[in-house]
Amino acid sequence: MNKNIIKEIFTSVGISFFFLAIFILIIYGGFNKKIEYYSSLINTVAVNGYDDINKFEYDYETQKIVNYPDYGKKYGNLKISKINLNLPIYHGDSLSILRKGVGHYAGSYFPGEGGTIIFAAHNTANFFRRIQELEENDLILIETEYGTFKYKVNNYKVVSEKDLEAFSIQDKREILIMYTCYPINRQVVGRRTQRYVVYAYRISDEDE
Amino acid sequence: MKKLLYVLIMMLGLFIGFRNVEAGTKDDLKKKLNETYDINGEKYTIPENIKVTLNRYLDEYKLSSKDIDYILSKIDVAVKKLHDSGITDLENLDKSTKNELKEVVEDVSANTSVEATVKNGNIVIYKPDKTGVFAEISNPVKQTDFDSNYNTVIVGISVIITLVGTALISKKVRNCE
Repeated sequence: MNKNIIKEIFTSVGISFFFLAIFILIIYGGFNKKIEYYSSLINTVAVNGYDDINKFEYDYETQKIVNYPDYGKKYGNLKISKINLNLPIYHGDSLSILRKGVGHYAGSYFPGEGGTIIFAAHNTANFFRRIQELEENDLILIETEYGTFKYKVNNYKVVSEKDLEAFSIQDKREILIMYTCYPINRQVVGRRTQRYVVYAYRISDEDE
Repeated sequence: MKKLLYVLIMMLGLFIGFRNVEAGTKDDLKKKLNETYDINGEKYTIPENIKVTLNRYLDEYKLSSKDIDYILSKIDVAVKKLHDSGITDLENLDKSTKNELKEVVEDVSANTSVEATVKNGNIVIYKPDKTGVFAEISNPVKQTDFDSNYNTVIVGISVIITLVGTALISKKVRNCE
């Protein structure tokens, strides 16, 4: 083929891609939030209705779980009425789990065990986008096969992703730590290196 | 008579020997996980996320005494390796020490019913019946921004195409002049 023709084709294709790139930048910049909202809806709808809750046993006398839920399986629901949140909770927090709901960090305790529980979820519309609205004393419910556990928000802050002290695990008191990437409501190119963290302490029915 | 005496002494010796070699139990292993270790003058305990996961494994599955004894011995091996490496900051292990610890995990996996691998810096523990993952011990802080990767890729590609397109258009314009 003639070199000049090849050059012409290449130039025309290049110019077409140039305008396509400008178009993508405009559309993406203007409609990115809508795209993200609808894709998160698809993820939630596609998975929520079809996962069976993974059954496991709880010994009420010793307050110990017998037969933990399988890794990667749904075992309960997280409900926060103030921000209209109702999400499935999965054992584990891999990328594929975080696309479906709340990921429970496997190296932390389970609800009812009396230690630190760490939950993560995306900072998008149907997940933890609104956790910044939570204030002290707001109520959080974790519903599982073996019982419902209630927590009250005690504190919240922004921390660096490298600040592992903010996510320290202990067994003296049942504390629920929920976190998501920060900033939440702003477009960012590249990784977010901060986390918005909410701390909630377990309460009894009388404390509510 | 003498023969009988020798047999009795031998049986007594064996009995005492067996009594002194007590096989490891689950409680021994749990106690080991809660110990404080002195590594080059600094005190360390096994990280809580590892303790929580391993205690959960021990509550759910039964390990033989042989397996427990082997794991107990390997914990000592791992501590010795850390000591010998001369490090005082466990947060910043060098590559060769990390590889040595990885070998300890693989050794336990190869010689006991506890199957585990080290993948991308995380320890993956499998169920004893090999039907799936029991748990993954990883960094507790994950990336939870849904769009960061897409944003970077899309904007990056668009910028490159824009630059190339601009160069081509300006060349064409120059050729027309």
